[in-house]
Parts: sequence; C-alpha cells; structure tokens
Amino acid sequence: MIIVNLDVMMAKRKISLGELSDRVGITPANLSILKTGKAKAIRFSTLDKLCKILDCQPADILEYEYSEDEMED
Amino acid sequence: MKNQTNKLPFATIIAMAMTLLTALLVVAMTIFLPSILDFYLEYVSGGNASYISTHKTPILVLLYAALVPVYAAVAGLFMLLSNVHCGRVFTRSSVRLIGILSACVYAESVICAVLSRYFILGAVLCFAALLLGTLLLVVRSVIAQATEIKAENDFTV
Repeated sequence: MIIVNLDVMMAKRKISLGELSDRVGITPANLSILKTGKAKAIRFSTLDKLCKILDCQPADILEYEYSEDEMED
Repeated sequence: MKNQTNKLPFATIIAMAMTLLTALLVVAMTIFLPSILDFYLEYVSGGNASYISTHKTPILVLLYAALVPVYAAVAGLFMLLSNVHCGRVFTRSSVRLIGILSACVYAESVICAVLSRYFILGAVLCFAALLLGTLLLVVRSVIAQATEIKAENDFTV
C-alpha cells in the first residue's frame, strides 16, 4: 500500500493546500484527493512539480507499506 | 456531469420514445390479454369449447407471468436512459441496471420455453431471448470495465 505524506511536507514547508495547488497547476480538489490518500495514480509531471515546490524527494511524499490485503497480479 | 446543452442526442430521443411506446403496449396487453387470447383460441380451435377451456387458463397464467419481467425491464430501461441523459453512464448504477435487464431477458426466455409447449413461436422467442440476455451480459462486462478505467482516470492526479 502506498501512503502519501503530502500533509507532512506541506506542514514542514508551511504551505497551504490552495497555494500548493495553484503553484502545481492542479485543482485544490485533486490535490485534496492526493493528500487524503484517495488517489489511484499520480502523473510523473505532477510528482515532479510537487518535489520542486516542496524541495524534497519523491520518497518524502510517497511511502510503501506492506498490507496483507494486497493481491498479487 | 450533466449535458452541457439541454438538447438530447437523437439516439436517446428514439430510445426514450421506444421505451415509452413499449410501456404503453405492455399496459394495453395487461388489460386486453384475456380478450386477445379468447380470439386466438377460437381461431385456432375452430370454436372447440373443450380445447379452449383446457388451454385458456395455463396459457393466460404464462402470458401474465411473461409480462412481469417486461415491466421490470421497461422500468430498468427508463432508469438507464435517465442515467445516460444526466451523463452518469459509467457508474455502478448503470452496470447494475444492465445486469437487471439481462436477468429480465433470461427470465423471459424461461417463460417462452414453457410457452413453446403451446406455441411453436415460443421456442424461437426463447432462443432470441437467450441470445439477447447473453449480449446484455457482455455489454455489462464492457461497461463495468469502462467504469473501472474511468474511476482510475478520475482519481489520477
């Protein structure tokens, strides 16, 4: 399971959801979907912008956690 | 997502008109079925009262039973068309409604199979209903997959 730690990075950089969404170029609704872990996929372009604005690595935003509910494809 | 304009596509108008016409026809059949059956049995048996009396009740019961899935299918079709009009095509509701339509058609095929004992046309209708039910199941699978793809797309940031 992929955990999104966007709220942690936003708190560290003291940036609000509205401001971050403006600078990334996506709607606050979409950013909220990502922040609350409801997103099913993220584009590399979006991840690139997030890392640039938050001055961090993808691993600072995305974390993998083993879950017993995961099914092998 | 509602339609940007209030104009319905031509295909949707035709579908709605056909569904409304079917609904009216089914209601008319419900009311006039005994009279139609009387007329048909008189014609087939040449006025044989014993033939009419032995066959009328079971055929009438089967024909009224056949109307139940039709009512359900017409209601399902109206709801599906409403979904299409409101732009809610690739939703779980639409997938469920197509599944219900398929079940109604399969139920109709079973009733037609029993009716084929009295009318040879019943066997033909049974096969046609089986084919249509299978086609609807395939369409349901396609719409279900499209719904999954759309959900994934909608939640791609």
